[in-house]
Amino acid sequence: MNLLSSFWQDANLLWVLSGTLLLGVSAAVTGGLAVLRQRALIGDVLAHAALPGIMIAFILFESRSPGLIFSGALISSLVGYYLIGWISRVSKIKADAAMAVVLSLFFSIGLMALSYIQTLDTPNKAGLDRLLFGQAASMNQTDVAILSLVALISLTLIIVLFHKLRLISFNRQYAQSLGINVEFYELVFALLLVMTVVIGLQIVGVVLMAAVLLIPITIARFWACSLKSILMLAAFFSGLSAIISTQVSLLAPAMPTGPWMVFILGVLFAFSWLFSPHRGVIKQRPCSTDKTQPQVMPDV
Amino acid sequence: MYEFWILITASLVASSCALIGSLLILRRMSMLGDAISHSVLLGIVLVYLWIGHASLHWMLFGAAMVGLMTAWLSQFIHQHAHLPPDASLGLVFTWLFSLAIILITLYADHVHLDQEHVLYGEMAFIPFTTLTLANINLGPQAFWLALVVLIINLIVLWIGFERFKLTSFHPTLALTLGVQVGVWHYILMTLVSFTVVASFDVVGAILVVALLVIPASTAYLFAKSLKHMFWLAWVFSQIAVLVGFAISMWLDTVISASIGVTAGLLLLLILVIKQLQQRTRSGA
Repeated sequence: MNLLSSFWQDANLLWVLSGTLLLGVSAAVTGGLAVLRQRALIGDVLAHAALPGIMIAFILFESRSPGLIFSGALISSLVGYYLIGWISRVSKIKADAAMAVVLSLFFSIGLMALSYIQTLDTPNKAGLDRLLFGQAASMNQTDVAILSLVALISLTLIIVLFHKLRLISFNRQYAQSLGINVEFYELVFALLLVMTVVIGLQIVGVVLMAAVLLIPITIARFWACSLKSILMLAAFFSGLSAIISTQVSLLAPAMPTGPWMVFILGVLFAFSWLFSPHRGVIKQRPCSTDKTQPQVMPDV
Repeated sequence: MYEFWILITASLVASSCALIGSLLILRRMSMLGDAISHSVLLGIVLVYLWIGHASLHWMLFGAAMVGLMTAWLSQFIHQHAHLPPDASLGLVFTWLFSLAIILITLYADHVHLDQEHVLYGEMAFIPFTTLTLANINLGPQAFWLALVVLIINLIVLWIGFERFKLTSFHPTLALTLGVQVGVWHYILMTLVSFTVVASFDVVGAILVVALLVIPASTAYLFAKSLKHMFWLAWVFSQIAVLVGFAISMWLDTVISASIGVTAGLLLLLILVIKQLQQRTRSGA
């Protein structure tokens, strides 16, 4: 009880908690839609692809303002997203290879730029590499303000566009034949995904960003059948892991929040797999109509 | 001599990666290299905690075990929890990676792992750790490690060439012919783990992915047969190493990243040229 009361008095921890909670919820929902489109590892690629944008923005403007870093990362992740599509469209290279190519190329460019920055004589270049590993504990009020804005925008957009996004994810051709502007909604979705990744990058780091995007939905699909309830449950589990991991960082201050969040998500996955009412190890009673698998594999 | 050792080691690592990467591309498992290069961190940490110091062969052993575990566990979850293969792979490697980071923070006093090392590798330091046998200086340790891994890869690929070809292109046919598809899958996984782990120490986590995937993808654009693809991937990887090394000397940047960038830009250049050719052909 003592711990809990000291928790609420510690303003910094409150920021960290609301930050990770918001990130978890919006990442679970946007990432969930990405997993349904057979692009589970896209978060990993986009998070790595953000690096060159950050570094080049720093070289050009010699500043580390959050807005600058955010726009640099946003642009280069978006370029990466479209480059994957372009490579697999114009050549016979498959989508998975295109993803790995973009990931390693962009990250190499970023590292090259970072090593170039280290030879430069500019002030405040220290700490740029911190972005690679994420630092939830150093979150402050401005970060959380930006984060809540992004989370709010992406959640609202997903709720408003839910029917169209669902249709496009499951049956692209059908959506096109209904006269839906598929390209436009694809762009909106790409922007949402990239925004979430770029924000989350600074909190949980590059690698664990992918986990926060993809694990919640894999847990949720053990418990529900319709897409709507799966996405809501994913948000719930993600939020739960955010709360527990912040508590862990509170008990042991040296503990990083991001890895604990992923660790707890993994444990939740194993637990759900055992006790799921639909596809569990113990019980097997499939949903009447399995809506979690796309009927038409989208050609990426 | 200094530059010579770096170049020859990089070229050996790149050769191993190009060969193994070709098979990964054909089997649509490109992201596996990325996954293993992250999850091996857990193997390295566990060995540190277990024997208390960094000894190279135990590190390699631990990392290879975790690499195999990643491949096996993601396959298991994919089959039994009805998850798409990429989702189960992502689940497994990120979880193992976060476990490794938690262990590092828990036992920070015992584990001396340098984040920079994991990212960039230690290419510029290759010549400094040398291997001596009976007081004769045999050259850098990394060079011998890379050579041994390449030789193992070549032998296994040579012996299993037909089997790898069959199981990569026609897994169902291979099954009906009585080929142990699963066994060859795990042999390949073992090779991937060894290659990634050995290269990881020299060139860093991300360049391993670049060397595995990019030369092989470039070769895939031209290749007419598996043998052809192996050769082309090897040629492209050597071009990337040579040009990348020159660029890193010129711009004074990290060698490993420069090689990765060169390989990637080469692929994009070829793609653009092919596109332009196609356009002029269809226009004429």
